[in-house]
Formats: sequence, C-alpha cells, structure tokens
Amino acid sequence: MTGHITHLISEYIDGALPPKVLEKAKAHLFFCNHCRNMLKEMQENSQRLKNLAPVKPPTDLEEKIIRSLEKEMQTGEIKKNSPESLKEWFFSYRGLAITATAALAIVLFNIIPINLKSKFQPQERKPSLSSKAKTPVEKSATVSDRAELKESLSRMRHSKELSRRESTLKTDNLAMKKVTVPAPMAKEAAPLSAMQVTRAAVKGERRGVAQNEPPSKMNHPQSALGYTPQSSEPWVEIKGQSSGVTEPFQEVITDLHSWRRIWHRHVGAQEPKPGLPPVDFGVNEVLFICAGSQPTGGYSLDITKVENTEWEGKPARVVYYQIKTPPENSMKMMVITQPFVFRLVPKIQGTTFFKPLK
Amino acid sequence: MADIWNEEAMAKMVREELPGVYNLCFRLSSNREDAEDLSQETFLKAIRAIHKFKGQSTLATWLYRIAVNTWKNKVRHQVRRKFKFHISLSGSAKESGDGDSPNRELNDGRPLPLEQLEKKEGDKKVIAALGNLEENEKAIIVLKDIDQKSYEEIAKVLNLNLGTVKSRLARAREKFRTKFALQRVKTR
Repeated sequence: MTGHITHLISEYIDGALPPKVLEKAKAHLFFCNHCRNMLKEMQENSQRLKNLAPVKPPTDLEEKIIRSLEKEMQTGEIKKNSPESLKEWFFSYRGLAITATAALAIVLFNIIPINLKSKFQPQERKPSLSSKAKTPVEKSATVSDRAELKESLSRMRHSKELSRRESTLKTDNLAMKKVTVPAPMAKEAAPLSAMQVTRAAVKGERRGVAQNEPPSKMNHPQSALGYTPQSSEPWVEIKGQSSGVTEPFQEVITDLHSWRRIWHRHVGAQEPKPGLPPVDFGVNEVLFICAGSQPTGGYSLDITKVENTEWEGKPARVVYYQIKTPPENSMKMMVITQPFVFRLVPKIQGTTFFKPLK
Repeated sequence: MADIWNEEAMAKMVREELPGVYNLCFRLSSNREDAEDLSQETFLKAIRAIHKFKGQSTLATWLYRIAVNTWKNKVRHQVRRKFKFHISLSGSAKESGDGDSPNRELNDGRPLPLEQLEKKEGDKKVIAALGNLEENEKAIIVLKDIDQKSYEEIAKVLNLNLGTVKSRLARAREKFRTKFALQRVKTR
C-alpha cells in the first residue's frame, strides 16, 4: 500500500484538498489503477448515500411533540427565556459591543440634526463670551438699562471674576468644538453609523439574535432561535439560466428541510451564496423545475399555467411548463446553461403533476 | 402573553426543524419507532436548555448535536444492557422499506415501477451497510453524505476539530466501502 493515496481520497471527493496536494493526488491517480478504482467506488457510495430519499416524519408526530412540550411548560420544567437570559446576553462580550455600537449610533443620530441646525442659526448655537457671560441681572434688564449694562460689562471684563469665567467658558467652548460635527463630516458620519447598525444586525442574524431590536423582541424565543430569514425579500417566482442542478428535475418542496437541501444544491458553487428565500410552509409550498444542462445560451424555462383539479377524489394540481429553445441559425452564447424556475404556490393536500408543453 | 408567545415559537421550531431532525434520527437509529422517540427527546432537551443556546451555530446544527448525543447515549445504554438499540436492516425489510419509499402514496397494493423497485433494493443494501458501522462512523457518514453538512457544521455537531472530522470521515468511508461490498456479495 506504500505510496498509495487512499488516505486522501475522502477529501479528494469533497474537493477539500489543498491545491498542491490535489495536484500530487491527480498525478498519482493518473498512473495508479488501485487508487483510481477506490476513488470511483467511494464516489459511487457517496452518491448512493446522497440519493437516499428523505424520510418524512409521521403526520401526528409534530402534534405529539408540541403537546409534550406544552405539558412540560405547564409543569414549569422549562426555563423560559426570561430576564436572566437577557441579562446574560447583555453582559456578554458581544452583547456589550453591540449595545455600545447601538448607543453610539443613537448618539450620532441625535447630535447630527442639532449641528446641521446650528449651521443655519449660528447666533443661537455658537456660544460667545458675551452671551455666555451674562449674569442673571443682565438677563432681566430692560432696553432702557442697556447703557448702564454696557458700562458694567466693561467694568466686569477687567475684574478677576470675569477672567475666571472667561477661562471656564473657553474650556466649555473647546469642549463644544470637540463634540460639534461640522456639516460635511456629519454627512459622512450618518452612513457610517448606519453601517455600524447594519453590521450589528448582520451579526445578530448570524448568531440568531436581532440585536438592533428592542429587548422585548430579543427575549422572543423565535428571534433567539435564529429564525431571521437569510433573505427577507418577498418573492413569488425566481427563474434564471444557471443552476447547480444539472439534470432535468421537478419537485414540490413542502418543508424547510427539503427547501434548504434543494436550495443548497441549486446554489452549488456560487459565491457569494444567495440567501435562502423565505417561505411560510404553513400556507405555501414551492414548485421547482430545472431543465437540466443545455449546450448553449438562449434556452429558457417558464411555468405557463398552474391548474387546480381533482384526482382520485382528492385535490390535485397540474403544472404546465415549457422549455423554450433558441431559434435555429440564431446567434447563441457558447455556454452551458441550466434554466430553472422556482414558483411559490398555495399549499394543497394532494398530488402535483408536472406536464411539459411543446 | 409571554407564555403564549413562547408556545407559538416552540410550535414553529418543531414545525420547521422536525423533518431534518427526524430524518437524521431515522438514519441513525434505522427504525421509525426509535426515530420518533429520539426526535421527541431531542426537542424536549432543546427546549429545556434553550437558555443555553448562544447562537454560535444555527438552530438546526444545535438540534442535530442534541440528537446525535441523545442517540449515542441510548446506544451505549442499550449496549450496556446487552441489547442492541438499532436493529440490522438486512433482516427487517418492512421497516426500511416503509421509510425509504420515495413515494409512499403508491404503497397501496399497486405495483411500483421497476426503477423504483431497483432503487429500493439498492437503498436497503446501503442502509444495511450503514447499520454495520460503529456509532461515530455512522454519525459522521450520515451527517456528511446523507445530510450534506459541511466539515465545519459536522465539527460543531460532533464537537470535534476539523482535522479529526476529516480523518474520521476518511476512515468511516473506507469502512463503509468494505461493508457495502460485503453486503452486495451477500445478497447476490
């Protein structure tokens, strides 16, 4: 067995070998019958396992589990997502970082409008020594007393107390300058803070908690359990020319698990991977049709009609679809395409038939 | 109000994750009854420990981890009692047939198309070979080749590092290859 690459075959199948090792493995496979046969056998086995049909749970199991969970809840054995878990999250490293980002975003959003306003009304906002130095006596003075006040002001300017006040005000003014965001900067600051918030939200989505939501929502087990859909865009139909499913394929997807599997297969090696479109499998299901690999561009796939009917006394559905081919002698892109279509349809308790149209 | 909310969330979790969890449990335990018990136990354990779920992996991965650990514990417990928890499917065609029929609506007496019958026979051999593997080998093959999980997800589910996942998977696949070859010879 010395010299064979049997230990690398598993990673070779998964495409997980580093490039240099892969080159060596390929070179070895070219010459070694033993390893080539083993690779073929293991690839076939992986395919066999992959092709095992998914097993659906019995219809009453879901209800049975929900009932037992509710029973446990009533007996109080289940620790609810209470303020304790929220407190744990809040004081965790991530919790602190996200709270700080959110707080910064709030502060920025609050300060920026004030400073934009201050640009248009400089007299009101800009602190000046004369306006800040006013004493309560000056504030209450009438117009007739202005001359006297001017005199007293000039006297006060030379006094020690004023110099002390001036120094204090200078410090205040400096401090204000530090806080004030000039208008052009404010324009930059707004998207930056928005980006930070988005990042926080994305992080939240990854770890299953929507951090930019109020605590009451964070406490919701649903958000804590990672139900935020990867893509929240509402959709009815997704179609295109490129799919990871390379053979003709029709399927009715009725549950999230199958949806994830098929989407994963469809997305294939695409990078970045598009998010899983949201589907409420309580009321809807997804029709997926793929035309398989086509030799050129110009092919397309359309669902022309979805007809609800009856079959053997049960509701049924007929999905008519058409694979359009490019006209003969037309210019075609020399690229392999896999036309596909996903269509969101209302759920039915019956059989679905796929009928191709010519 | 909070209670109603939690119950709704729990129901949603069960509705959305049950097919995946059940499929895994069925592939691990190889029969319907055990798969049902395992699924139920998995959700109960998950809900009891939901406050410990930190969101460092997806909920499905976390549930899979609970399911695999629960299954391993059961197998060990049964082995200690000198009773095998999972039954060999080579001898129980009925159960594997029920589970693996891709279109169970057709199991009403009408003959299945030839292709489906052939696939069913092939599936039985695959499942029988799978049943002859050790727990760890079986778990890793089910996760990788049936459930199509990535190395990283498997590492999280089985609480292993990536290197161990790769080496263990290589060994498990090699063993599956020999067991499957034997299975084919036996049934010829």
